[in-house]
Amino acid sequence: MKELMVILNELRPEVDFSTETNLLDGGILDSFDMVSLIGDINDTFEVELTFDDIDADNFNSAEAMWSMIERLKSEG
Amino acid sequence: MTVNSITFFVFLLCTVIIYYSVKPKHQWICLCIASYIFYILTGVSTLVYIFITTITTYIATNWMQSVTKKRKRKILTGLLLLNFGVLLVLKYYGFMLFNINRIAGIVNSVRLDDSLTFVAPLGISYYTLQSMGYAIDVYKSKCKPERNIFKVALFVGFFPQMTQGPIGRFKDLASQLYASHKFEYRNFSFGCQRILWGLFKKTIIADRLSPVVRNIFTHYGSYDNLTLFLGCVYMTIQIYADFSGYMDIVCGAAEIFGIKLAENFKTPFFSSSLAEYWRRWHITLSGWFRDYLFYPLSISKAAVKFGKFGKKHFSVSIGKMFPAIFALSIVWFATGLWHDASWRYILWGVANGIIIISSIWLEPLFKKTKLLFHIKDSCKGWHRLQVVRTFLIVSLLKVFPGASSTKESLIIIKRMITEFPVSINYKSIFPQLCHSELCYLVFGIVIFAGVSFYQRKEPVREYIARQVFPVRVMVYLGMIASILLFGVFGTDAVGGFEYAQY
Repeated sequence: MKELMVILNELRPEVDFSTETNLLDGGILDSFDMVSLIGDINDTFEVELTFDDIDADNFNSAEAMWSMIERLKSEG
Repeated sequence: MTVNSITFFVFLLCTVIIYYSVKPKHQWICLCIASYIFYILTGVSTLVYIFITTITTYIATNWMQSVTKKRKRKILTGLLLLNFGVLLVLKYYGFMLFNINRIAGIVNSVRLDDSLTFVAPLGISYYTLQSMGYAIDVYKSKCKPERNIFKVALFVGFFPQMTQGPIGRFKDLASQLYASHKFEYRNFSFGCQRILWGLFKKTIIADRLSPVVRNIFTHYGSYDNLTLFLGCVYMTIQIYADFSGYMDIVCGAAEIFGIKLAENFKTPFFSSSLAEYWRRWHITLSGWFRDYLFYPLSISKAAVKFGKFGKKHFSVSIGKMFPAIFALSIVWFATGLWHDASWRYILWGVANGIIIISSIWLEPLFKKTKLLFHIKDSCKGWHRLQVVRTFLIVSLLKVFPGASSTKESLIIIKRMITEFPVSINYKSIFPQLCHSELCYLVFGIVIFAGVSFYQRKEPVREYIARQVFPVRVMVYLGMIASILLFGVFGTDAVGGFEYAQY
């Protein structure tokens, strides 16, 4: 989770990712942020996000992102 | 039957009366029948295509429920190929054939028979995207498939939005379409108010500017570069008044039934960059392209490879941008092509893409420059300058859709850059507009701009709703009187809306 928070804070330092729960639906993360974030998640956690994973449910909060990463890691 | 015609309002009134007279559980059936009567009235010969989309979407979405993920993907691929294939043939066959024959002419090869032509059915670009978005959402388990084919038919062809959008999402729209609604005065008054506002924009601004813009671009050789530049600006205002006016009419019509359609505009002319402008203009189309084209492309194997290439040959931070740049290039090409099967629209899309990609690429340089000149993003003056700059960029890009061919748009660009205004007088600034016409136009634009400014604070309709009854009546009567007194009611006014041709 710590590594994910580093990525997110680097991406958008002005956002409080520990409390925000409307990142994608609320338009806080735009499409360019998303592409950059997906690339960083893939590289850092050695997972491969697919089109099916790009969903507001998986990206609306840091916690949701972390759950998705853990799920992808467990799926191998 | 266009949505600004008397026939449409009679049709709407009849549908509203029947809708609230039938049993609540039958209301959606009333909407479904009305939608297909509307479609028949606009062109019965093309009804077969909307049936193909409805039936294939219904079968595929329900089939996907009972199969493995691998099979699901195959079904979705088949559905997308079929429906986009139909769209491609009907809308782009002539364009593709024309280009193939041009190449054949250059290389002295055999030319293909071009006697076969197709007529693209009304609204096909809109209902195809809406239906395929629904199928992708079912594939991604974001929503459950509808079991009733007639309900799917209503979702695909709901009459206010079928010809020009907004492109709705199943999870937001379907439940509203199928639910029963009680007649509510607020929905009725808000709906009528919005229809009037749409007619205000359409008749006083868009239809008044339309012949001026057409004249400038048709007789571009007779005007100097100042008028050509103003032609682009006028077209920007005309298209906005036309398209947002249409949206107000259809959203208002849906609101009378208690249905809230997705919004397509969020005061786009207050945007400080072209990327922001596209997030606030034709929102449902931009959203569709973002979710169903940009994201899949940006995480595709080709994009990842492109990103690795960028990281290796440039730097890690630049390489990170490469997947987005790759996806944006294709999305903007597709956006241009979606609007029209012509090279000038493709050029328009590509030009938008180049400006947006350049602004991403040059962002570090912009940041350094702002630091050097002590410019803060919070500075109001700087923000206003950015807003004006964005409006000018959007306007100048109108040269592509405005001209009648690619060659003409390039000639106009050349003239705007290389020539200087010969004379600045009333006729070069307002060609084709007499003084009284200009006064009506300015009146319309001032009210439109005032409402847009207020809209940033709160919805104007909420403000009007808080006023006492006599004031509300005065507002309604004022709008009706303005439309009747200052609106354009001629061949242009019933000639339809600009975005219907897409």
